[in-house]
Amino acid sequence: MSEGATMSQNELRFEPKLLELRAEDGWEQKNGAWWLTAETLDPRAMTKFMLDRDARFMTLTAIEREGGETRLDYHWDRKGVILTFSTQTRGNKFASISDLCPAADWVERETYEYFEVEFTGRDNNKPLMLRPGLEAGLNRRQDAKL
Amino acid sequence: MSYRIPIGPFHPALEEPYKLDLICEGETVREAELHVGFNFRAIEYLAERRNYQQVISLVERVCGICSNVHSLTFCLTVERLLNLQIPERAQYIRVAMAELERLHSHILWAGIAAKLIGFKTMFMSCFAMREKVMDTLEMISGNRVNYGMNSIGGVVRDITDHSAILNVVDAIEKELVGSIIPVFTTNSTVASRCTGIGVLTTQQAISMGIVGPLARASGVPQDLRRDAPYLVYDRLEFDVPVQEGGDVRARLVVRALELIESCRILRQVMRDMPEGPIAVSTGAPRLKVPAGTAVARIEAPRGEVFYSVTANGTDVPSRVKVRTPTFANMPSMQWAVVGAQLADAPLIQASIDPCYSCTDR
Repeated sequence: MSEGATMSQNELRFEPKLLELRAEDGWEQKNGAWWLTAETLDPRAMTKFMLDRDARFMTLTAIEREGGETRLDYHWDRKGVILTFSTQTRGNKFASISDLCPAADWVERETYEYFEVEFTGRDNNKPLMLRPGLEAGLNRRQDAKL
Repeated sequence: MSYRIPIGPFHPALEEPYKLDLICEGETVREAELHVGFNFRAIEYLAERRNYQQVISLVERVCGICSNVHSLTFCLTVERLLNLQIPERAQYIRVAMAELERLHSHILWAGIAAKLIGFKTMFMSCFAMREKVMDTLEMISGNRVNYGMNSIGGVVRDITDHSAILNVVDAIEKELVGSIIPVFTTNSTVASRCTGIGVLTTQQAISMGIVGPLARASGVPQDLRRDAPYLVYDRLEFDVPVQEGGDVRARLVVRALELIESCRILRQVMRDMPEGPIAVSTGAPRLKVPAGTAVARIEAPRGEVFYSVTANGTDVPSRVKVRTPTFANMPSMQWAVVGAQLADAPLIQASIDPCYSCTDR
């Protein structure tokens, strides 16, 4: 997805045919992955859907948006192909998937530290990377004192 | 009655700073808590404030062992944004560097594992062998740790002396087959220290999303060189060793066999490398990259390295995301040590082949 592109879908439904990777379902193949951009995405439905189909959660990329929001790209590997679900936060909050997918635990903690995204429903919010004295939201600051 | 043993963050038993809290009952580990971040350098933050040329040097400092894979993956990602096809010879050279680096990393790990098992002679043998690989990397690149080989558009140095590299490959393979693999696979002391220790089941490996040799030692047959080939790996013949045991011994065997496969790949690379240019010009260092996001990943010695780069049309990326293999693998330590004897914990954590420089970035 190019920077500043318009979110193409209002509601994303997770049905088996979604993994046929068709353009009419919103998939676009470019720059090393298949991308599906959705303004509204239920991350927990996505996670159950992907895990049920033997996909491996790779990681989550957060990208700063204007207005204090954050774009979230969830990257999955399925049969050697990267599938990326791209969406964005609401009030810089998003539902956690770490209880469904332990592989997401550390990256959610890290994303909070770098972009101040609050993942709701987590029971472990201990600092991962930042030392005492460094405030969450590091990558949003222009002049962070490291 | 349980008690807590804090190990680290700075401790003689650890190669790098991190902290492991082990909750034990008697000699048995019941729970483990891992603390990282002691090496945090904010590399992603810094990368978003430097131009693309500078970021190559910066990301090469993510790791002191697999430094090349970081500059390589970053360059592959940016080349995708630029829709740049790099010359074939450069692709072969990149594979040669990647496989030499895998030899370096796996042999280093074998030495550390041997030391922890109690085979200090083997430790010395492995480190002597590692020197040969580092000498070879120095011969090619001029450097022993941060090679500075990758540029956006290719590589900056050619490989001219193929026979010198093949001689080193022959010497390493002879030593692997003659002593290291037999000791790791048949010696009774090694077997007693490693068999059934630190087990990660296939199901645990899948649910934790672990990668690389650690996953392959738990019966997960994934290797990006075969499953999602990049550079010229789809033209090369090699096997992907997989073990079902999920224990320390399985990790030893997988990495030992992967050393042989890297030797096999290097021979093919030296044989098949075509003549031609080693880079295309991109106008660096003031290279401007069109807006967009691209991703790339490669099979590093410890597993999948993943980069996502977002460009905004300037010469500075607006986002550089780095997901290293140890970041994916290390949380599994909290499962691998549960039920183990306290004395085995150092070997179990080493068997994951952790890199905290990578993890913390």
